[in-house]
Amino acid sequence: MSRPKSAKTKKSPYFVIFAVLLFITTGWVGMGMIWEYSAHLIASQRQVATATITGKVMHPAGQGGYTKTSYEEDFAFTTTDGKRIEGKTGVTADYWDQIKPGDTFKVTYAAGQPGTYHIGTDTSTMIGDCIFLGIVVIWLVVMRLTIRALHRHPTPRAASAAAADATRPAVAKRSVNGPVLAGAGLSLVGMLFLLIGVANLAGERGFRIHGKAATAIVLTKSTVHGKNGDSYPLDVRFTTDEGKLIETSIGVDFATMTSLHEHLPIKIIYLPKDPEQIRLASDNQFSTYVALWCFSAFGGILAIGGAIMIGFGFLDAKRERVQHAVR
Amino acid sequence: MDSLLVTLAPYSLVAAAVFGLLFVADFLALIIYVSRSGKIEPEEGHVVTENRPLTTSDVAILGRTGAPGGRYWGKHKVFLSRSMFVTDMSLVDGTATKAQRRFVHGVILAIILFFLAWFCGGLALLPSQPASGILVVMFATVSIFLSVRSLRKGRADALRKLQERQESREAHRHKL
Repeated sequence: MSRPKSAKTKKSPYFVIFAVLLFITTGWVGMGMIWEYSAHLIASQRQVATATITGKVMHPAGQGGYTKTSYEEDFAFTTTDGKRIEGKTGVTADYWDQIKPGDTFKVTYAAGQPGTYHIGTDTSTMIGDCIFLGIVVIWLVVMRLTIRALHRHPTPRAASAAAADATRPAVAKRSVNGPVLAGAGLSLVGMLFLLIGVANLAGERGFRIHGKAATAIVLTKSTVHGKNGDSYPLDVRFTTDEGKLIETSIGVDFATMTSLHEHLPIKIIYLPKDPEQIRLASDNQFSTYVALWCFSAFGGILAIGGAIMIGFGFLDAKRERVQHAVR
Repeated sequence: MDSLLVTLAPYSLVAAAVFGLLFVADFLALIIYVSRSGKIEPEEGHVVTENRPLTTSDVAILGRTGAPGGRYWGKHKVFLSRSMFVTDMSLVDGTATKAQRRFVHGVILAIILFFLAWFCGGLALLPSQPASGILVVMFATVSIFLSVRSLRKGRADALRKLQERQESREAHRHKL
């Protein structure tokens, strides 16, 4: 038999949210501690060595379990006591294009533990310390909120309001008019659709009028698994007519993603005013235009329908009030 | 034939969009109409407590797959719950109100617009994706066929029952 919970120790409905936040921030604190330990170890036992690039590796998207094209460099360095350390690190597509095996760069490692190293010679831990301190403060706040939520004490005002609410008749509690609420929801959703549709239509119109064609190079392909299906962002690089080098990304469908390959050219259209905004030249513009019009009109219909519902809701409420006054 | 389909495709796409939007407008008008003229359900304005086994659709909403298990327990306030129920018999014997007849006309219009939107959408797809296009056209045709058959059957059944009722009433009167 379950014992009724005392009002003094009733759990807050936010307890679960705070508990989840506490779990996440505890993970951050753990990761921060490991990172801080390594950074301070390197700073206190600082030794600089020259690393040599031994290889360049590209993992294409869709092969070997990689959902995004990944660029890596393999390197090796020798410590002062002659121990050879090998490592690898992820790099950007641009940097990967520029490097070649045999190139060198500086690494800093901890003399007592050469496996702990970082690329570059900067051993300042100031920024890392500040971030870690911030995480600890967040963790303390979340911890405090979780403990408070676990043992919530209702205020005298809240308790008296709840008691008064319980004694009120059901009709008096109906403060929200159903049709007005439904209409407001419908209008909001409709306005959102309308705004998105009109904004996209304006963008599409810009491409039609001012768009310029260019040839881009595919840098990375990726597959992002979302709740509402997968998406396929494509990172590309191209040069504008003015000679400006642009690196940007564009979402494509699965068929397009599989037909394209890294470091191969594709035809695109860009906006000279904002060259980061691009479209594939092969996109069917007519169907996109119709779909956007349809999307905007759908939003408009919903918004108008919602407004009509709100209007009727207020009219009915007014009529009811008048009838009530007459009685 | 191919060139005809290719020529028709853009027009079909626009027609599908227009019919689809008209369907949405009609459906919304029906919702507004029912919210004003429909019967107010007892749960409107009250907090409803649900305690029932989980269904397959609940499991799907939760983002899981497989057989449903466990129970759903929830409390929610119903702000709006209205309905409109029209029988074929009331339409046939003339007892249906004007509002109910208007509602039925709206539903028939929605069925026609739904068919046209899918049919035109299928036609637009035919040149680029013939298999999908044929499937969509077939879906539209079968759904309108089933809807019309169900409407006609309902009306015929109601007419038959009305006739039987009238005959039995007349036979009763002759006996007297």
